[in-house]
Amino acid sequence: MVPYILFITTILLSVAQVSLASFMMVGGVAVPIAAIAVWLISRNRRNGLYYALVAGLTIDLLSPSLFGVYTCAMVCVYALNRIIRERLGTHTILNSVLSLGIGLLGYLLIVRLLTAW
Amino acid sequence: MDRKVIIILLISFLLMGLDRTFGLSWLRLIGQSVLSPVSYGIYQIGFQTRQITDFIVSLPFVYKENRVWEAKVKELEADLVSLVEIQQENKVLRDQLNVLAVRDEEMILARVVGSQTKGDSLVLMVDKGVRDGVYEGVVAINGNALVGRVVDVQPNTSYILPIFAVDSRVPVKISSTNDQKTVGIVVGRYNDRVILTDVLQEQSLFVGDLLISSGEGGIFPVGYYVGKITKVESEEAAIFKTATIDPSIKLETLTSVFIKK
Repeated sequence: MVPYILFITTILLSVAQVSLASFMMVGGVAVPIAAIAVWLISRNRRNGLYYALVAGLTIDLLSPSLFGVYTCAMVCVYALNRIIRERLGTHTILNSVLSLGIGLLGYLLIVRLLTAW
Repeated sequence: MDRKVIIILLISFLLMGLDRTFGLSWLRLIGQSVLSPVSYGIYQIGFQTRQITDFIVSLPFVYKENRVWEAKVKELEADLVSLVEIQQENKVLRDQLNVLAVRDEEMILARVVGSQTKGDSLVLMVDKGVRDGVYEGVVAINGNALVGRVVDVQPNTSYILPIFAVDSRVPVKISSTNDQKTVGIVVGRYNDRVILTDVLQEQSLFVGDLLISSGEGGIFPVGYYVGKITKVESEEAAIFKTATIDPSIKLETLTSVFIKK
């Protein structure tokens, strides 16, 4: 039951990221709540990649950019999180913050680069 | 790296290539017909929440502001007496200049359902597209304020680049002068900054001046409100003056826009 609820939550959060972008701006950048959700899920669940895929595809459906940009960015959030977890572990707060920071930075960079393409 | 990750990354690049070559608008059409109503619902929740939060935050200032407005209303009541005369004069001027005349244009009412990052800027997503007669390049307004122009259109959705988006350029003039010439260009900058540039040193600019589109360049129509000058920056050595602008629209307050057909 939990995976289904998580999938629906991921889809809703992805739609919310699009809908609420103008209400959640920090320094001119919209807070990527779906990317944060993907990071949280992939931190706690083994099959986080599928949630990243669902979140990315949902945002791609609502995006004016090339189809696949957000899927690529979300999968990168998952991959970066996994790499950091494997190398450093996520037992300390510092490692968690580091992995979230790098994941979001990677996400924003990929989105910015690919949406300008 | 995990093989699955690499496969999905390759698929996403393949999708980008397919979208660029053949276009995957049919796929978006299916997805958007399901997700747009959900997006609109969430946008409304966000909008209402924002309104309530703003109201609660503003309560301590409301009483003080109310006193100021009361005084202002009395002043305005006095000004009202001379308005009839000005209105007649204005009509004569508008006939002569053909500016800010009553517009007879066909408009499409579109609901804002969200916003998306496109390059350096945030674009507004609205629920009207090609099927409703929207096409790329048309202008979106809200009341008499310029919102932006449509930069991407899909069957049921279109995306509007706001006038204050990064590197967006709108030629403007000052509304209070009869001069028809463009005084400068309103340009969007990073961190939500909007500035007026390319203003000659001899041009007078004052805080509070209202800027309207001059129509130069043919992209934006003439006579729409663009913003208000909040700060003027002028250096004697510089060729041009600049000013900081409070833009006519705030994305988070928009629920609908009119798209010019």
